[in-house]
Amino acid sequence: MGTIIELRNVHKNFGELKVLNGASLTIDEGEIVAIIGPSGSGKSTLIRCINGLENIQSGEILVRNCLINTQTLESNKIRRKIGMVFQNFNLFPHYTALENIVLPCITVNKMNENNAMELGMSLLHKVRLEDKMNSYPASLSGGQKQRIAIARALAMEPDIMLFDEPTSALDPELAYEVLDTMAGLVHNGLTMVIVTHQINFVKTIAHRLFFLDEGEICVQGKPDEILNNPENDRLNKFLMRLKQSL
Amino acid sequence: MKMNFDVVFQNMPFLLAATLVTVEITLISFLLALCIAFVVGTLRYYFKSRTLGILLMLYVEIFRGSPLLIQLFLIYYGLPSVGVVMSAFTAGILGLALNGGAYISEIIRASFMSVDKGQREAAFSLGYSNLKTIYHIILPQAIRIAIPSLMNSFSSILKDSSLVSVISITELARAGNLIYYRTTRPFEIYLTLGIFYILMTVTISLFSKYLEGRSRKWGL
Amino acid sequence: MAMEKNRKYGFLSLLLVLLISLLATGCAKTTSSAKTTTEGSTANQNLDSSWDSVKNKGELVVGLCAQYPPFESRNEKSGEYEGFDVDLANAIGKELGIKVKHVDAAWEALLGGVQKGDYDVLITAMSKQEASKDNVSLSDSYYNLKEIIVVRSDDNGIKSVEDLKGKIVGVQTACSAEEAVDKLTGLKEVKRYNRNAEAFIDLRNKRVEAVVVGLAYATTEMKNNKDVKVINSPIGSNELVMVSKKGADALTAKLNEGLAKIKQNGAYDQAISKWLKVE
Repeated sequence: MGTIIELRNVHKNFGELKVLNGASLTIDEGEIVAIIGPSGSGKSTLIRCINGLENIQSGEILVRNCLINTQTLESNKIRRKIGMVFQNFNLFPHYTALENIVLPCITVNKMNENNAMELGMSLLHKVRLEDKMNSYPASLSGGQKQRIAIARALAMEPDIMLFDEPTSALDPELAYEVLDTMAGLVHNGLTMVIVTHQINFVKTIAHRLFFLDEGEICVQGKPDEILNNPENDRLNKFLMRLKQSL
Repeated sequence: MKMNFDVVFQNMPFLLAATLVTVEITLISFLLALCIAFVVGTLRYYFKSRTLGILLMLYVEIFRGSPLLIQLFLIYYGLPSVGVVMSAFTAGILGLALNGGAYISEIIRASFMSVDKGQREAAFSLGYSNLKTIYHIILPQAIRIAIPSLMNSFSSILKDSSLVSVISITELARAGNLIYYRTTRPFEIYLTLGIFYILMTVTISLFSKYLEGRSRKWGL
Repeated sequence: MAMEKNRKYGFLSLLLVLLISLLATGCAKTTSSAKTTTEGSTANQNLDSSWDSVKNKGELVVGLCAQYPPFESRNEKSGEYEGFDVDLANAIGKELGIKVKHVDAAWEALLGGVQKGDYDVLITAMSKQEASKDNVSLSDSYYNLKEIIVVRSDDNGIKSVEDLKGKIVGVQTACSAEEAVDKLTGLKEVKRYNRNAEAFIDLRNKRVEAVVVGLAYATTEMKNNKDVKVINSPIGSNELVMVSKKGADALTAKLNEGLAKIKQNGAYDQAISKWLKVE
């Protein structure tokens, strides 16, 4: 199990605003990694750079030792194996739940229709939403939408799954069903990178934790070690603020 | 002067034939305008700063910024002096389509802009190419958003079609005028014309409501 | 869903109410108006001061549509009005001892304008038929204008009215030439233009085979362009008249007086030979 994702001294600006300030990290294949930090720290941006949604100004991002922030054939192939789950779900409103999962396979991966339907149904079963297969996203709850979104990303059979604050737009009761679904993915050998505020979830599921503040990785290590004995000043402050808001 | 609708009934075949001309010209021009608008609107949305984008912007500004009347005149009476001669029907449709296409392309472009950015990001993350994203994900949503405005444009083209009378096409408004000149009964004739046009625009409105109803299930 | 249907019916019934009320007001207006339509009727005392009011004004306002040479057009260089009608009006004005002011307007608006009072009289190559008979006062005829056929110079297929059968014919709309064309049978198509100039463009570009127009206009065209020729097989003829509003009998009488005088003293013949000499 070698390094699958590597960021080397990545700098990213939005105009004048510096969002990533020399961020560096490595993630091994099969690891489940969480990224936490205050808002504005660049967490979403970092994860969006990994799958190419954002450009970087300097530094390198490598996935399977291949520079991902380019448009080469190889990098495109590798990018297809990265799945993304968004804070706002971004389901396709003109497709049913099943179509959301199945049509991308057929259109992008040119999968056979029958195989795609099989895969779709099994994924619906996995996220426990078979009865919603013909519903449109507009009639689903937030938690159901996110579970469909996860199934949609999984349908492309990715090696890496990126989660950009997957429960931040959900009511707390609905967040539970999504987190549960995510926990269910753990035993597949999938590499997962999760940006989240759900510290307790992080404790139960993540192998490693990154604390991002003002565009750099300040702290990294095992969740138990870091969270129970936060030596870093900024991390401390952040965790206190989080406790207060709960 | 007593009101006498005999004039209208006597000339009904003539009026109906002219209505057919109006409907034909409107339909063909609208469909052609839609095609032009889709191409122009889509290209303008994706190619903002290159030469193509500038050329297309010129097309839109010129055809939106000058009166349709002048455009029709130029195409039909002006072009022959540089060797381009076409039938009145062709000129009429060309003028209406180019003019309408310019307006409609802006509707299309705006509808693209109003599709949520997240849709593009989701498609990108799933590996959709630019073209596939437009075709499968963006266009269907953009069209739903654009339907009321598009039907509005259809209605506009219907009324603009009366201008093709200046290039010698006898459509409904001109037909009404001709009967008026011969009989000097403006009230009966123009009321009838008004009713005919309203019937046509109401048909378009009902069709629009039908289309909008179909897309309601997606929550759009 | 039910709300949708209700809204639809509500809209349609509103439309119906609108239409019915329009019709009702239309009927109300016509039954309450009591204008008679007999010609040469007993005019009100007011309207017979038509000549007096012109005299008091000190000028005769003449309406015309300056797009019909050689009767009336705008000189490109000087911007002045010129043509047979212009000279006729000026000559008559001179006889009556009154200044003449010409006002240019769209053809379609002239009749409405003279009834409103924007002009005292129309001298604009208008035929008796073209001036609607009900609410106007017409002078004596001052010229007989024939409608003839114009074709391309190289076209030898059309030599008379008969040859127009199966052909596409162009004509200016809302004028006597159009009425003449509409009386013909067997034409393939009649294309109607707002102005003669447009009909001629289409003749040259082979979009019509022939144009029917007044003889005087045609000969002017031919003077400037050798690519069209006149087939002097008249389709109709029109009496041109001066048009004033209904009841302006005094003014019309004076105009007839003036016309008779200039026919006697040669001013009329001068204008004819200057503008309407047909080779």
